Amino acid sequence: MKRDGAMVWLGNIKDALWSTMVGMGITFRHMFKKPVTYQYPEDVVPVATRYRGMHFLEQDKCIACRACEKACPVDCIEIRFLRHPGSVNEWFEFSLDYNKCMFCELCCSPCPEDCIHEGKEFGFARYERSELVVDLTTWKGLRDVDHQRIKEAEEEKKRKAAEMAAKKKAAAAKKAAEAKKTAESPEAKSGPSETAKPASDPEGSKPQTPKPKIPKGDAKGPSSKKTAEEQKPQGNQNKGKGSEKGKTKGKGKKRGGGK
Amino acid sequence: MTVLAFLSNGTVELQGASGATGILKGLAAYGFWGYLLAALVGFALLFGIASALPILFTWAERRVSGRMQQRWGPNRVGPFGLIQALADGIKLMFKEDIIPAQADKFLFMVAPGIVLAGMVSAFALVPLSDSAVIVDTSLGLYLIAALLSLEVIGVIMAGWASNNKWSLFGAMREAAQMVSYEIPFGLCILLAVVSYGSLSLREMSLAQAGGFLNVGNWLIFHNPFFALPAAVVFFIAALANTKRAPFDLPEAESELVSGFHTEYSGFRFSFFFLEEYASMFVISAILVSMFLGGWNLPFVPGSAVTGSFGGELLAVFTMLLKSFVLVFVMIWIRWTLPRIRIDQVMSLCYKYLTPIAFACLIGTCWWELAA
Ligand code: SF4
Ligand code: SF4
Repeated sequence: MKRDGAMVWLGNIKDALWSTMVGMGITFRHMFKKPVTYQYPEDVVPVATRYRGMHFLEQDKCIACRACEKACPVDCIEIRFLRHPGSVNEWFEFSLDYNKCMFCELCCSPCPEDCIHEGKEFGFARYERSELVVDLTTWKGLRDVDHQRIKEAEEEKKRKAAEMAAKKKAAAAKKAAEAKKTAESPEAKSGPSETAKPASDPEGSKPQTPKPKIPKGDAKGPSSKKTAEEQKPQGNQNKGKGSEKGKTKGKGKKRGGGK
Repeated sequence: MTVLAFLSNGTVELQGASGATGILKGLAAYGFWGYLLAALVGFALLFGIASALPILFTWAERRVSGRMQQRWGPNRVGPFGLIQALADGIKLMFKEDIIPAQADKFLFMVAPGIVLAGMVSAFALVPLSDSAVIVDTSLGLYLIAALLSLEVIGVIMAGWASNNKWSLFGAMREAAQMVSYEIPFGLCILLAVVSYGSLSLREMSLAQAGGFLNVGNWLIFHNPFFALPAAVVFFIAALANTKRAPFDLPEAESELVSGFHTEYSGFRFSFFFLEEYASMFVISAILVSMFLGGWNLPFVPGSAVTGSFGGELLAVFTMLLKSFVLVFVMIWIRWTLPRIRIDQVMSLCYKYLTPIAFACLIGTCWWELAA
């Protein structure tokens, strides 16, 4: 409807009052709604599920393969550790320099154990730059479990060595006995030349003895397999699913350990 | 001296020696020093009230605006952030008081004082109950209107003395706006005066007691066709007079960088701040006294007991409650409406509010004659 004359004037008043009232109604309604803001330091601010925040490391799964360190395009991961028998790592450092990190997530994908992740922590405000070099390890050095495992591994090694020595001895004794037999036998003529051989043979066959050791190394495998199996359920618990993946991973590890 | 004597005499004439006024009157009997002491006590009292209310209002403003924007508002200092304004006040006091090198130093320093002085004096004239009024003269409304318009002088002084183009723009807008809105403001006051035949706010409140449901004698119900629109007009003009949004052109943070108080800092800035919030209360109290029944409690017949201590307390409480509701509406409007343009401000005043106020005034004259 077109307004003219005094109707324009009255219409303006009506519009002004009406629109003000509508606006005030909106603000009044909003006054009783729940605030949408978060009380930041206290409240946990939700982020997207694939948010790339501060890294976190599942240290008990990490095998210190340095794949993440190599993958990082800006070289901001630094890993220092000492390898002990029984695939135990004594940790000194696993640090991430957030002065450099660009949250590209390239370090997470190559990890064979799937144990480094980017988390949801996004507060990086620090008083000094040096504080941005964050150590991700949850423990340093060796835990009691690790000492235990090293001990076990060493004992196993000793046992194996002793076994080996016993076997060698038995083999040598057998050979010696056989040599004796041959010496005692009528064809003693060729004997000396043959008996001379066994004397030099143990040396010559030494490089051969490690060969049977390799299958024995595989026989040693079961012990490492056990530890791998001990770890596997943990990994499954952490992941919740993907036990298949864990198994294949475990196999891969075994192969690596065998080498 | 003469002014004080006049004010004191006015008080003495209109009411018995009770409450604060009684004490002041007693002191006045001791000659000059008595007057001085009375003046100092009165000033301390007023200044206390005038700076305590803004603390409450700034808190309310922040909380309400927060909730309207679905935020929390201040909630760190004290329970619900109640002491936040106090903390801000302390902060302002300890801030450096900067005076620009090119500023007119004397005017720059005096301007906030003038702004606040007018405001605090206006406080003295607001009746909270029959006896809880510091100065009750037969010229109450007139004096209040005069004191409130003192503010514009301080603002223009501040804007000019700052030697800053934003400040000067702000001051000029303030002058244009204040002078324009004084017209509908004054006309609405005149309407109330015509209705009551008195300029005393106290008498207006007394006259509005009783009636149907104890609200029948409120001016907006007693004279609904003319007093109700007049009350709305008065409220809009009051918003403009207190420089509240949508009429906050003199400050206009987004365009004039806080306008006339751009150059002020620290304690002098807090004077302008206090003035804005204190004047919200004064204007609301005047509106309540003129149109909304003063200290009379609605829907409770016979509650207008004055004289007894309990009755007075109830009256003060009612008056404060009504004023706070209006202050809340001011805050509500501020966070609802955007700032309007200066030409729209002018056209609203001259094309709409002034004619409506005139019509209401004439209508009220006719209504009162007919009644
Ligand atoms: S997210 Fe990218 S930059 Fe950061 S540590 Fe990983 S690979 Fe390096
Ligand atoms: S790639 Fe994974 S397993 Fe390898 S060192 Fe990094 S975190 Fe550890």
